Amino acid sequence: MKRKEMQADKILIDRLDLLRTVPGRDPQAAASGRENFLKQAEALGTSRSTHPEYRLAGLPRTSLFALTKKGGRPALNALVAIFLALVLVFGGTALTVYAAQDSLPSEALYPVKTLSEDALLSLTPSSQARLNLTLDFIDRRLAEISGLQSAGRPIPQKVVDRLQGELDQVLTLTAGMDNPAMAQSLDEISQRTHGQLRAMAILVNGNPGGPALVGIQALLKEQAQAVDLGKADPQWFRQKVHQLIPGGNGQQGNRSNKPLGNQNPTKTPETPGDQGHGHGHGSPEPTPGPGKGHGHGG
Amino acid sequence: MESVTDRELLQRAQNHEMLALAEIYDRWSPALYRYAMRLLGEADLAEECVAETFNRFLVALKQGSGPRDYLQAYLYRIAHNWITDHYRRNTPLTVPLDPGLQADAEAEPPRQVMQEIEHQQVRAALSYLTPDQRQVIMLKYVEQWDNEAIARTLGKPVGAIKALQHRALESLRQILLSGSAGSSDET
Repeated sequence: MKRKEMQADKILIDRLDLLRTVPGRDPQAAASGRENFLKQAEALGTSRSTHPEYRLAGLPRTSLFALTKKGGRPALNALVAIFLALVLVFGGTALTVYAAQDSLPSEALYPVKTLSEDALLSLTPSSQARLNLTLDFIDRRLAEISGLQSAGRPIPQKVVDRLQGELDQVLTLTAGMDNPAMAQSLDEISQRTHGQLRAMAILVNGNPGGPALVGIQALLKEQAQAVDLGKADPQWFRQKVHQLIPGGNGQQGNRSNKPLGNQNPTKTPETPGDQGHGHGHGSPEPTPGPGKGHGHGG
Repeated sequence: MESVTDRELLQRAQNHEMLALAEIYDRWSPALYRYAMRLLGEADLAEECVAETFNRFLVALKQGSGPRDYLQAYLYRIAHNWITDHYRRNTPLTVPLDPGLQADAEAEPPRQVMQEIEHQQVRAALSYLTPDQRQVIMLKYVEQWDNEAIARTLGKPVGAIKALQHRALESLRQILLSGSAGSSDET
């Protein structure tokens, strides 16, 4: 019997051995997988590599890690330090605030985190600094969403709302700048948003059918479209932001129900390259995201 | 088992160095792809598994909850969990166990088709094991790891790994060979 079992095991192991042979990996798919991984790494964290290959001129230098890890953005760290000092002075518990910085929306310390963000923003006088801070907060929201997703937890609506408020605030702050500053900011926002979209595409791919993720992806696409439109026509952008996002001036906006990214400039672009920026007002068709397909392959 | 360079690489990745992350991907993604391919049998799914494994690794690094050491064990664990989830989400594979079921005995199927059917049978049988049993079998007999490395991956003592192997082989014997083992022995 024992011998029979051993023979059977030998047969089994031979059959398992069959699995060792697998067809070669498609080099294109492998290269694309590697590229996506590196883009995601770039989008999710600040690279500290000095290798020129990774000084990706066209890619955003988002700083999720910088917000939560040692050695992050000096400006933000300084602001956090100031804020912590103020909290200490006023008798609060700085440690709690510090500990809250890594918390997720479903956790007890999360309100402390959002309160500290609001406080930081209100202590920041310059529009440019507020814009940078808000862009970092958007990265934070997306990191939280990604964290919730990998933990298998639902994405609370309040996180999506806060993200939307921050996206609006970025537009409002930018619209309030003079033309050269606005152009520079729109470039920065555009880069960051496209990086965030790439990261979201990976998240959505890994969790097909998740309506919250798809909604967040749509928000980011809208933002990217609005920014692209702003780059093409700053004056129109300014007008539309003031029309559609009430309560600007650095307060978190409350976007009207008409997405800015789906609006056409009043001055219709005539160049072929400008075609396809959103739909006309009131178009019932869904936005196909012209020219911005992210190819959710696989 | 784990080389110093792996540990250094992981430390650099924890500091979010792109070069280290790229090296980790280059070092482990081919093997992870083969592992996923062996269990899933579809190139697209295997690519998805690899992408998701590295995605979760990045998220873990970002949250400071990534591996402190034994990166290989960590990555294989994530990949295996993804595959297990995939099995759960999808209808269990069927096992065409009886070779006598060929419709036309004279029409000899091409060798590749037969090979694919055999692969599917083995994969389907593996899908009926518990996730731990499946991983032990894969790592031991297909990936040919030693018990210590398997123990690290599953986070269990070596003795428990040996017991798992024994039980997994017994289950596989019942699933795969219950119909044909006897005849193999007797011929």
